[in-house]
Amino acid sequence: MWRYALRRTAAAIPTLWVVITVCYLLLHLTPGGPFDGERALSPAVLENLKAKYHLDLPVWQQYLLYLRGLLSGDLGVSFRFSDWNVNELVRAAAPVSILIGGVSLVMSLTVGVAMGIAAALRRNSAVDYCVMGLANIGHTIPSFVLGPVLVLVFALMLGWLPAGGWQASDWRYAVLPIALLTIINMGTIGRVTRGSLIEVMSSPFIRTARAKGLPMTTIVLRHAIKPTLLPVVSLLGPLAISSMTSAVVTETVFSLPGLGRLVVSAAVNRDYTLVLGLVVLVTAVAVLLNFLVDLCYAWLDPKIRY
Amino acid sequence: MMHSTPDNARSVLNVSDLCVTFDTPDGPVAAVDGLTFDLMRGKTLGIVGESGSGKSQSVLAMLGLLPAYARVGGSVCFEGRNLLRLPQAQLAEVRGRRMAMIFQDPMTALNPYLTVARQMTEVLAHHRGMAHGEARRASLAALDRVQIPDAARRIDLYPHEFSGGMRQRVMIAMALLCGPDVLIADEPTTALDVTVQAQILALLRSLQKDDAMAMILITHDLGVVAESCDDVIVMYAGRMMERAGVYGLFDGPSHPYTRGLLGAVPRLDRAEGALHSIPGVPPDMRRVAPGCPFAPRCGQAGDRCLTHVPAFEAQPDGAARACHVATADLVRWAA
Amino acid sequence: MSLHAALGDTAPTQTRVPPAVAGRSPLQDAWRRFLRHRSAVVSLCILLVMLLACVVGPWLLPHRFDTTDWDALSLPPSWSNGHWLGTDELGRDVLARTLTGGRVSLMVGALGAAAATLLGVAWGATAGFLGGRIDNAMMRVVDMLYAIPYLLIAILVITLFGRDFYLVVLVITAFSWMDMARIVRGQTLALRSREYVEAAHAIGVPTRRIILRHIVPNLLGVVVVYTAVIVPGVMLSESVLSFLGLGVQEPMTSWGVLIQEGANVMEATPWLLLGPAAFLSLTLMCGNYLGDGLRDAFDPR
Repeated sequence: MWRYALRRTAAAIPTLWVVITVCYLLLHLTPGGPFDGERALSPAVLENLKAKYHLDLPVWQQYLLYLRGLLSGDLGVSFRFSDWNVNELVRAAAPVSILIGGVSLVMSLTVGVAMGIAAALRRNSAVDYCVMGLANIGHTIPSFVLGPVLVLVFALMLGWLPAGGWQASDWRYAVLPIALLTIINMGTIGRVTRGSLIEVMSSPFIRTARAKGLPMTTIVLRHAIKPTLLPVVSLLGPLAISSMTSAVVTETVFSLPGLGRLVVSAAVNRDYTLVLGLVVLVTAVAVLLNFLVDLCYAWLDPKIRY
Repeated sequence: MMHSTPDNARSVLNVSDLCVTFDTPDGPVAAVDGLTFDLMRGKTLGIVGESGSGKSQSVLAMLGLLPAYARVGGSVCFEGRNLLRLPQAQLAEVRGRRMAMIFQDPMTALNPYLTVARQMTEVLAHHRGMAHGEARRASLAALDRVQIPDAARRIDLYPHEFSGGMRQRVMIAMALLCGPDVLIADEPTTALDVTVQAQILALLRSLQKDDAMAMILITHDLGVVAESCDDVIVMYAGRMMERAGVYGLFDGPSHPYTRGLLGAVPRLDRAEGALHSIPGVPPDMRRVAPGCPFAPRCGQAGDRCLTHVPAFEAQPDGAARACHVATADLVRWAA
Repeated sequence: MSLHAALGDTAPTQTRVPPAVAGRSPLQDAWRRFLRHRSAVVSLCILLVMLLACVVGPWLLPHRFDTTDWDALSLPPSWSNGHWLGTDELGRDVLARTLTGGRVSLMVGALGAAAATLLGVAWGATAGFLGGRIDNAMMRVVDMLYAIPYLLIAILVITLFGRDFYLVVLVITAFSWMDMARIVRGQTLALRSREYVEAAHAIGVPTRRIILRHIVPNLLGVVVVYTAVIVPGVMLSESVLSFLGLGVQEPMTSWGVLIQEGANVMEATPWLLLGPAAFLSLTLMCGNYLGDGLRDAFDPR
């Protein structure tokens, strides 16, 4: 099981490298440098700055220096926030994103799978239509539409929750962002679970389980659950990646000081190392998540372990 | 409805006028129409027919395993209760415990995501309330009985790690865990090699003898019928064509369809030219023609056969059939 | 001795020929199945109306999308003054702006989807048909693209190169074609080893004929279905970029831009948000139902 997952991960390392290189080249080969927007600096100061950040070296040498730094875990220094390096900036912004993203993922999995099972077992009934209607709303309405609507209703009209911003000590600031992400994701998960369970329930081995006289609860939760969850698990990889997209939108809508907003502001400010560092980080996390998903897959399906 | 025959005391299952109708987009389709028989303790009943004759649907209906859009009529009496009218909870108690079923393809019929141990012990845990250790021991004993070598190690494997013949043995062991009174085998050897077929059939026969279990054997293979069954029902287009003891059937089939089936079996002891087959194809069940369903393909069909469905009637020699043509008028049969 | 003779039948058999079942082409079958999905049919109608409204509407409305009216600032929706969805802070008619934005959104959707479909089909069919190592390599590229968080790269590229309409379409296309490629490759692989293709090959039908006659018609089904799925995805991507301030530039506007502007002032003037939001959501929802209906029509389970 481990060997399978490791093999798949090893194939992802080249991807990481390609992404890093492409981004690096994009940043360094396009017109405009990190200090262009500043009020005009005297040539001497510019020279010194460039030397300090190795910008006077040829691009390929800078690239190799950067790679060496990466391997020792150093993501470089931010140009904009010259007192901080990228690692520190990331460490400041990461907790918010991880909290919102992690909690909403767990919740959307639980709620989504439960919804899908309920709808599949009561197919074409009122329960099915209600549950799937809810799922469809979450699935089709974009996050940047649903977000402001949630803010409009719960914060501005009803006044129950804050409209945005973040205070680590106050849980109420986390409610709407987590709710938004959960609703968005549970729709997809619910649809896939429902379709999957319906298909699994018509399998021959489910008929055998019924012929053995087992109760329906046992049949669903022991016999049907693993094959049902397989498509859901394979959905997790792309879902995790798209939650990074959703994170950017969510953090923009709710003004959260997370990694998503950091990326946008870094790109706008042409802060090379920060952007690069964030892209590297996010891609590495994506690789890790895919590794975990592959592990889950192998654990669920005994046929693919070798 | 219990038949008041002298054999009533030894009959385990009484099926009367079993009908299965499917509601399809093209209209209602009668997959089974009027199946009637009594199953005797310790005996094997074979149900023979081509694909689409309704043989599998009838036994699935008996255990309530058909999908929701199937409508089932008639009665299936087991221990004085009509299984077709039982609430789900009570039916689930009968299934697996008093009446068990094994299916055609053991690869798809066993759950590939659970170990064999799990799939076996759960039956005992549910029906007999056994604790884990006890259930495991009983399962191992069952596997030994069906001659699975090295059962103690194999029981923790997954179904795909067994060979086809061994998988079917596992299914049989699993079905017999609670000592059922009736075992229904739906084409148990169709998916297996010929040599393995013989082994499985022999195994079934010996297990049946040990437990005095009644068996219903569904098959399209007349060789299997000849080898394993005591009584035979021949089905066509959802209806019974003939019902007889196995010797009587092979010695003197009393229905043109049965004769056609037997005539189509290639013989090694006679030099023949071409292989015979019954001309035509089975009817489209969505468009039911009036009269005997076999009439379009029957070499001896008369006018009455095309317009009136023949009733299923007992014959003086103990067999029963549904045919307008008098037995005496049937073409001479050369066995 | 023949069976007929054995059964005493010397005359030709009285086999009754069953009435012929009217033949139905797979396309007719698919159309019939599609019509059975009420939600899909309704969605199709709504989408056609939406398309018509966005293309023709701005010319028919009493107000233009960019005419400012200082006497009609920030008015809520009403029937009487012709501003059915209200006006914004510059007095511009929201409905006209929404329909005009719709033109851009739909155009991006159509262009992006067309480009993604072409690229995906070409890539997938080539990989599937050639097989072997080339197939592996081509699919590796697809896998790589899947692993990249597209929004980050999109943000990067657009920030660096500016907010050009065609660049936006390009960036979106670059990350939308992979699904199609995978599906088409799978189909091609399966079709290539189908018996009738092997048979055609064995008889000596030239490869080009095989591709045109056997493979392409069977690919049409999946391509149609997935194109219908790609369009909402592309529109969504464009809207997200616009919402983040990285989409089309003034004077062009799209639903994403309008939603972002509306979100900024939603406390005072919620209709600025709700109008475009409703249009976008409706279009996406109908697109999804249509995709579902098409998928069922061409590949019922």
